[in-house]
Amino acid sequence: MMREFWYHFRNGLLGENPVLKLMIGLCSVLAVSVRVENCLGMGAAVIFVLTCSSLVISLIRNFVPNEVRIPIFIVVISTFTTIVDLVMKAYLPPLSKAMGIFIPLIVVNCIIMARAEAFASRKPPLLAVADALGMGVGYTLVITAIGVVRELFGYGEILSHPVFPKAYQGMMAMILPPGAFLLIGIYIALLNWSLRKVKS
Amino acid sequence: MRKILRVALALTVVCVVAALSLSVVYVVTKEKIAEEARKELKEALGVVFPEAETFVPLDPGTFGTLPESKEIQVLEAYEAQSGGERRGVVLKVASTGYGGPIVLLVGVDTEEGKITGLKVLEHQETPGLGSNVAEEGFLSQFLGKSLESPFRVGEDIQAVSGATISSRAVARACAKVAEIVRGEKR
Repeated sequence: MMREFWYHFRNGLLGENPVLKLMIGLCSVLAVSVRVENCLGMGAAVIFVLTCSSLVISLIRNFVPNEVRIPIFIVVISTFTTIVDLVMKAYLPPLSKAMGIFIPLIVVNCIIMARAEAFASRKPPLLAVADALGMGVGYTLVITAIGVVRELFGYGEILSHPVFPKAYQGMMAMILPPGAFLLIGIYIALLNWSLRKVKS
Repeated sequence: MRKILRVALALTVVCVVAALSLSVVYVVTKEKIAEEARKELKEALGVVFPEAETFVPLDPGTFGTLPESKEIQVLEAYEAQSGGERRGVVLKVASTGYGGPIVLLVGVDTEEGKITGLKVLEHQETPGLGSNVAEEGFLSQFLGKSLESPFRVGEDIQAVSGATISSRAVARACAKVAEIVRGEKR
């Protein structure tokens, strides 16, 4: 069981990384990865919603009739998303402000829906949690890796601490969505290249 | 028939459980969110009118005498007082920007007829571009400006580069507030 847990956890990190391999949930990656702080917040929110939804969906999988499984998944996911939204508004107002609409939009983040449909609704709870954690951490790693480069070159800062001298003029392309597109492309190439190298 | 009932039952149960758990979270966080909003408003009012200690809410309707505009709305109004005397007003206005309404507070010293401060409370402008209109660098150019100024981007206001529409929205809000206060004085 433990080996299976790790297998499914690792799956989301590299082999089936949601952003770089499955290429889903890209919208929020493009939108909030301007600053590292937002990336970590978004990652934590996604991990929470994904893990809780996968667990619940896996637990009720035998009770849910096939005809209404999608509406039920959406109710479960939106419940957890609203919980995150309210809790963030109450206890982390600045972060909640910075991410704005993208927290409520986790509801339609296709990573969560895809994992609910393809994995959690067919597997026992423990494996569903392993898969959700792997996918969530994989998502967070990639979005943070993008955020570090974008914040560094876009603002000359990391976690809002200046890194480059004050005279540094931010790179506009990094602040705007194209920067994220370019970086995602580069990361996909790097990942595929290294995976192929490992294989051969 | 039995099948339909079974499907309806499953959906109902899930929805009821979801609604119950959400209402619990809502009740728990409600007070904290409201308190956070009050604290934020108080802080923001202090920033836009540093010389006043107390802010008395006014009826924003009394400022609505100007021709209705879709692009600008006065949402809230406060009288800024210092030592029990009226020093000026703070208006909360919504001005249509690039990504939606930009909600900002504008403080006006009615005695000296100048802007005492500005603060953007909410906006959905492009991160990294339009969002810069909420920054000190852009807003500081409005400080201490006379109400008679044109408040026009390209004339007396320098736009944030790459964010002309957002900059215009803020300038327009100031022009409107100036117009309202000038009109009230007469």
